[in-house]
Amino acid sequence: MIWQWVLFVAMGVLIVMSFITPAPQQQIGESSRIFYYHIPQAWLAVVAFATSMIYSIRYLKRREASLDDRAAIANALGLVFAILATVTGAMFAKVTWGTYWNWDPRQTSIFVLLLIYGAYFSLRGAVTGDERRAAMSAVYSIFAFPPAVFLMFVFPRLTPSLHPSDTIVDKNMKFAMTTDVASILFGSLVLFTVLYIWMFNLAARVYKMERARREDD
Amino acid sequence: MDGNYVALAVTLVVWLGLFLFLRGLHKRIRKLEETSK
Amino acid sequence: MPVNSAGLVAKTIAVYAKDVRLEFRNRYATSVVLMFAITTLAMISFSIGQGSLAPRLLAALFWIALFFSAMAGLSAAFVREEESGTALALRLKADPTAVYLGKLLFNLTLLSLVTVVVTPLFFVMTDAATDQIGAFVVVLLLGVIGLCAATTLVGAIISKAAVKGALFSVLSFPILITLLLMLVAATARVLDGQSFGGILMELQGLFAYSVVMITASLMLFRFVWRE
Repeated sequence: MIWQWVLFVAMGVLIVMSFITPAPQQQIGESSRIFYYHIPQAWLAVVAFATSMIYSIRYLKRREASLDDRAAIANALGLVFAILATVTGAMFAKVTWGTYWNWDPRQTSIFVLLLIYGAYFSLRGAVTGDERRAAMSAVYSIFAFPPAVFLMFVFPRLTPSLHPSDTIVDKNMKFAMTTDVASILFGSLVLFTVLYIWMFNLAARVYKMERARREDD
Repeated sequence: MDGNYVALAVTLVVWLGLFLFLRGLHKRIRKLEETSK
Repeated sequence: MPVNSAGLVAKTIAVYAKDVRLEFRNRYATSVVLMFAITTLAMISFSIGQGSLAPRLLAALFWIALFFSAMAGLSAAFVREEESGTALALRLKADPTAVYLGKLLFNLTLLSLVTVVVTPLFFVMTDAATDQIGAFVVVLLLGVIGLCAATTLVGAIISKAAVKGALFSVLSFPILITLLLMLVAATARVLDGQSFGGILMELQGLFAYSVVMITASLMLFRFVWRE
């Protein structure tokens, strides 16, 4: 598996680069290095949320159990990345704003994402019957998507926020992001996404084997 | 600057741990898939 | 399946009328929701004590009271069907769209009733005041529609689950935060004396929210109802 070693070395190089190059935001200083980890985590939390919605739609159309598995896996990984993004965000907030939590629009939207992930798994725990559980959680996943998207992408732009704008274009204008910073951030986004796909694939295979074993019994 | 090297070392160790875990998982899953066929 | 619109209206009204009749007979949801609303209001007023609050705080407290009242009663429409075993008969007889619209209308009626009781009580108990009655009523109306638009489908989902009451608020809250943020912002401005001009953006947002959530519910409801 050569690609695994490529990922291993590339991520290692990226980690070294993220610490030895000049800090991405000179005014904030050394702590701004957390950008290279915080942004990919937040990005993957959103990607996982969208993945789960897409698999939920496909489940309702095709009614295949493996599609429900994938929706659940995407939500589980999304929960992990959302927690990581929340924690790194709170750490950075403590250093730069002086408090861990102040209900900044960005913090509100990641908190809501966490609540949706939590609610999704509460629902799965409370419904009996494989098909009924799959259908109910798929419907909830799809239904929770539009208000959450509004909260993540529209609301932060309507309300004044202390959060450094997180799209790369905005950042470019605000921070005058150098090509070094941009390439490390881009590399980090790519490698974290590869990592996410790897984890997703492994979990999907485990679920598939478990299902096959249950059907054998 | 020293703090950066400590953070760098910790991050690299975390990455090594995560990578070895995923690689081990990958191998075990493949073995299981082959035996169940 | 194609349903002609006259048939749909008639069936919707039939579902709605059946629920209203049932509710009128035992007042299962109405009494719980009203008592819950009054308890919440009394607690708010009690904890404020003397003195008046800033418009933003008042607006937040007002919507918290209505939110919890909605959480106490709006799942009744579907839970009752599942518990009394009438869901099966209804599933055979009626088209899912008609069932959803009938239940939505029923929830709207129930929450409007609560709002009509709660709002004057709130103004009396907290000493809030506004001279923008028109704008206030419009925000209130959009708020009631938004709350029902989002929670009717969630009520249908939880009627199929094991722990119904707690799950209803757990599932509804993340979806409703967007709505509540807009409602609190708009209500605070109105209590501060601003008219329609000052809350135009929130009104558009509230309207869009209800349209999106009702459309999504109409598309998704048949998947819940069939199970």
